Amino acid sequence: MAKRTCCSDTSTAVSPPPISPESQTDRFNNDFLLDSFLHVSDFDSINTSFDTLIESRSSDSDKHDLIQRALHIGSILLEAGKRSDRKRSLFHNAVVWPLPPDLTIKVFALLDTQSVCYAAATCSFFQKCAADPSCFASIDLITSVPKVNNGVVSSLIRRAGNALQSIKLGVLPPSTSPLFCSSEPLVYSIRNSTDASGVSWNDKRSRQGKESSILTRSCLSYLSENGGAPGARLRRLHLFNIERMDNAALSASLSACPSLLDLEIVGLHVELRQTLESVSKHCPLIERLAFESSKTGRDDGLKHPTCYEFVHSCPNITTLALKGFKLHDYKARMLVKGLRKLKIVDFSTSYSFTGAFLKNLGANGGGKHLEVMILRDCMHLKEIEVEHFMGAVLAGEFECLRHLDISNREGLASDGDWFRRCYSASFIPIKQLLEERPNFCLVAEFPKGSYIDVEQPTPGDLNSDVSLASQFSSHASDGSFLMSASDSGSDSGNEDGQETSFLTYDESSDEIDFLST
Amino acid sequence: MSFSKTIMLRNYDGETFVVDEVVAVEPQTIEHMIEDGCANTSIPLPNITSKILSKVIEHCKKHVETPNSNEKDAKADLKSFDFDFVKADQGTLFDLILAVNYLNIKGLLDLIYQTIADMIKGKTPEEEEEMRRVNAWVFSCFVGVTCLYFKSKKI
Repeated sequence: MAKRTCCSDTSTAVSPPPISPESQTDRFNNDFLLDSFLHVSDFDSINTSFDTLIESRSSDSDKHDLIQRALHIGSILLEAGKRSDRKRSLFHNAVVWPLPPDLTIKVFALLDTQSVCYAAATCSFFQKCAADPSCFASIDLITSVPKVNNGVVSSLIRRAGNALQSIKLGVLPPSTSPLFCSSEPLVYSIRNSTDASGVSWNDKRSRQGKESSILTRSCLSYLSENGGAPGARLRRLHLFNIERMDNAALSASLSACPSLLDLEIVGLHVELRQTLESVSKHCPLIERLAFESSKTGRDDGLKHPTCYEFVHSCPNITTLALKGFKLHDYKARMLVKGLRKLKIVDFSTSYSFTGAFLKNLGANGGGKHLEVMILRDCMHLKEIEVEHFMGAVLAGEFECLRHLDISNREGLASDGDWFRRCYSASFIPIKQLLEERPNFCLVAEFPKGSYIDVEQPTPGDLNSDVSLASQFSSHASDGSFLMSASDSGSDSGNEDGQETSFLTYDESSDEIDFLST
Repeated sequence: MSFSKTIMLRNYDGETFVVDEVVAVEPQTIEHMIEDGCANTSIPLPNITSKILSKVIEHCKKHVETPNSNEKDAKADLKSFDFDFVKADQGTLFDLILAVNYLNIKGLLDLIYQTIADMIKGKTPEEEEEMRRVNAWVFSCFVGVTCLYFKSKKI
């Protein structure tokens, strides 16, 4: 209505325009007036004219009316300009981007989640394309500082709809890529992190009454909505360092994902026993389970029935990683032998097993498909058990095994005395190994020498070890052999280091357990 | 010596390309046409320019000629070929994708989708706008046509 009103001060009639031939001339007048107004080149003159106009009004209410009218018309003009600008941009974008929507969607489906969201922010065409469920089939919300909250997760899951295949969620230190079988621990407390604005984690936590700006225990609750439809087809779930997730919440999330094939949990405050029970109950199809404890050295609750249940409920497991847990030999044995399709095993930084579980593992077809075994920094792994195992390998068992990692920052344990450590892999007949299994990769990194080790390697022996390594590394085209006499980096404090590293395990009464097995 | 059958492809510019049948059936569209018996004289491809068609044929040839072995050398060679192949400017790339979509060559399609995705990846919205602005002059000829379209639509 206001548009029809003349800008000049002569006409004050605010009647609705009559639908008559006169309205045509009105419109023509307005077009002309607007055109000449927009072509005013001297902007100062507008100011002075306006001031003059206000002053010419005698009554205060008239002045007020005029000012309000100016503001109103000004905002209408502004909106009209913005609208036209948007239309032009859209039109320009449509010309420059020649792909039709279906191909654009196919391109977007290849992008990571953040790039899709950025693309959606550029123009409405991209926004429409980015709304297609296939663009969110793999939701990757891993950040280096906590800045994703439940709302974001829920809305992305909703957008993905039936196309949802994979969710990766949580916080990882920026330098690490979450490579499976990496020797660096991925457990990362968000207490250490501050986000870009300098607000620390603790500050965020104390915001009362507002929706949390970080992930809470119910971050995956949307998976259970609508009778579990969103989670029904989920295949991959990777969760990193979500501090507030607990056993119950994880179990509830897993119950919504019956098709899960790949589960990776790092740094969650959940226990192994309960997690394995949840997985056994809800995810029978699972093929890969990687679990890194948030409290390395203190999760000792795994029970025998749990292992039994797990092995029988989840027969399709090909990859199993349990890092930082207490695993007795008989439980490890049950897992490795019971999981018939097992190919990759990683028990790094887990403790309590001595390697006795490897004895006779190959009997009755156990470990038939084993390809990779990683036992890095396993506190109680005994040299003698590894030796026996290698003997079995050389005798022809474990035909598929091609990678074994027994590196240990503390060296391997000697038989009988936990404090005597072995720092070389010389007990392994390397020549024979390379002859019989040319594709085999053996990784055995130990610190250089030790003050505790009574059997000090003589200078002669040390040299021969080193020369052996160089000899084999030179002709390892297919077979690779890594034996480095690397410095542990803390030689001066080695004695103290050795003692304190055992203190953690002294507290539990389990020392008696593994000494007696 | 067996005589390998050749197929003639006639394109938008009226040019004809003669290719071996084994190369010509890489694009699924052409394969279907041959199966349906439309390939007696020449296969018409009216919406593809010579420049693009010759690039496509080059790619098909390379992939057909490389033996399908698991040898590392062959794979690496193919990879570097693909890498160079998509180094074209954005205009060519977009024309290529429309042609390849029509011809339905899965391997090449995936390659180009990935290339375009990589162009978009990691850019902020402002940078994306910039990316499209730069290409405006290439498509300025389209502007006139679409302008008329909009005017007649009377938005």
